[in-house]
Amino acid sequence: MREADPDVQHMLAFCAGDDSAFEPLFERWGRPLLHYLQRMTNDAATAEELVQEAFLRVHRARDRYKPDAKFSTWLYRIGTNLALNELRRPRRARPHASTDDDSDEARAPLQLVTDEPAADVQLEVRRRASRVEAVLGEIPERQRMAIWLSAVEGMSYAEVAVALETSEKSVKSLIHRARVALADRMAQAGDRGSEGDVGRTGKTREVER
Amino acid sequence: MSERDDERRTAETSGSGAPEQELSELLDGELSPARAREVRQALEANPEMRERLAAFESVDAQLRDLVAPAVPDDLRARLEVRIAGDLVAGGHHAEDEHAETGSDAGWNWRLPVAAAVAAALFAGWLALPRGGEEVDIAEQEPVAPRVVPTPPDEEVAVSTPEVIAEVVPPRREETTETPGDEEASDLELAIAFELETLSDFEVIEELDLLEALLALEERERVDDGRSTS
Repeated sequence: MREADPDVQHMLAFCAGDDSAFEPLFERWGRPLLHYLQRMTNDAATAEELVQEAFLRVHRARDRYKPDAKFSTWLYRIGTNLALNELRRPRRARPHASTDDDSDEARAPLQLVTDEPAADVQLEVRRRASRVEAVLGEIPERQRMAIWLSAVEGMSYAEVAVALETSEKSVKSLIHRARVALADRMAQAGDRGSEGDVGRTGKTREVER
Repeated sequence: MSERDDERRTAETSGSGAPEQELSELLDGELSPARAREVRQALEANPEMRERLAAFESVDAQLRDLVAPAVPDDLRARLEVRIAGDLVAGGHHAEDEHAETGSDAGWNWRLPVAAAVAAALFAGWLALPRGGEEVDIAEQEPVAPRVVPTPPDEEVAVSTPEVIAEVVPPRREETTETPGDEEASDLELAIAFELETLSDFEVIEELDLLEALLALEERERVDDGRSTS
C-alpha cells in the first residue's frame, strides 16, 4: 500500500541511484514543509534552514530508507524532530507574528483604504491570519504540531502518531485539546470564523456523510 | 479508522450523548461509521454541541486559510550546496551509498572535486616563498662555492637553488658559446647539464647528485695530479 505512494516510488528510485528522483520530492513537499516549520517555529529563516536540514537528511538516508510509512509522514517526522530541537534551544529568540504586529501594520492602512472594498477585505483576511498565527503560537508545541498535521496536512491520527512519535491515543488528546484551546482563544478575541469558513477543504468528510 | 472504545469515552459534555473529544474525531473522520451516525443523531438534539462543532470546524478552516510562504528561489540551490558539502565532509555517506546501490552516481562528483583540491594544493605550494629552502640548501651544500664555475663578471656565492640555476647556463649549446665557459671541463659541463634538467622542485632532492659529481671531479683532479707527477 505504501509502495503505491508516488513519493515513496520517487524515494525508492532515488535510493536505487536515480538522482533525478530527488527533485520531485523537493518540489512536492518543500513548500508545505516550509509552511509547517514556519508555523511551528514562528520564524521564516529558521524554517528555511530546517527545510534544508530535513531534505539533507532525506538525501543521507538513501542507503537505509525503508518505506514503513508514507513519504510525507516520514518527512514530517524528520521536520518535527528538527523543529522540536530548535524550539528547545534556550538561546533561540522566537519572533512571533503577534497581535502587536497586526495592529501596527493593519490599522493605519485600514483607515486609508476604506473606499476600496477589495483592499479592505484583504486587510481583514490578513488581520485574521495574524490573529490565528498568534493564538497558534500560544498553545503547546506538540498540540500545535498535531492540529496542524491533522487539520492542514490532512494526516490521519495514525500518521500524526508516526510523525510525532507517539500513540494514536495521545494524538487524539493532543488534537482535541489544541482545538479547544484555539476555539476558546479565537472566541475570546472575537475572531471566530464565519459559517462560510466551515468545511473549506473537505476535512468534515464524516459530518457530510 | 480508529478503534471503537465507547467505554473509555466518558461523557465530557453532559447531556450531549457524545463526549466532546468525539466531535474532534468526527471532524477528522476518525470515528467508525456506526459511531459517527450516533454522534450526528446526538448533535441534532443538542444545539450547544452543534455550536461547539462549528467552532472546531472554524478553527480548522482558519488554519487552512493561512497562506503558505513561497519557497525562496535560492532554497533549492542552498540545499544542493549543503548536500555537496555533506558529501565532501562525510565521504562515508557516499561510499555507503555506492556500496549499497551499486550506482556510480555517488562517485560522479569525486573526480572534479579531487582535481579541484589537487589543483588548489599545487597552486598553494607554488605560491610558497622559497626563502626557507634557500637557507636549508645553503646549510646542506657547503662545498658548492668551491666547484661551480662563476662567470668573471659575477661574484656570486653559489649557495641557493636560484643562484645555481642563474649561474649555470640553461642550455649546453649556449654554454659552449659563452666566452667565459671556454675553459670549463667536461665534468663541469656535465654538472651544468644535469642541473639544467632539474626543475625548481627537484633541486633539493637532486643535491645529492651534485655532491656525487663534485666528488668525481675531485677524484679526477687527484688522478691527474698523480699522472703528472
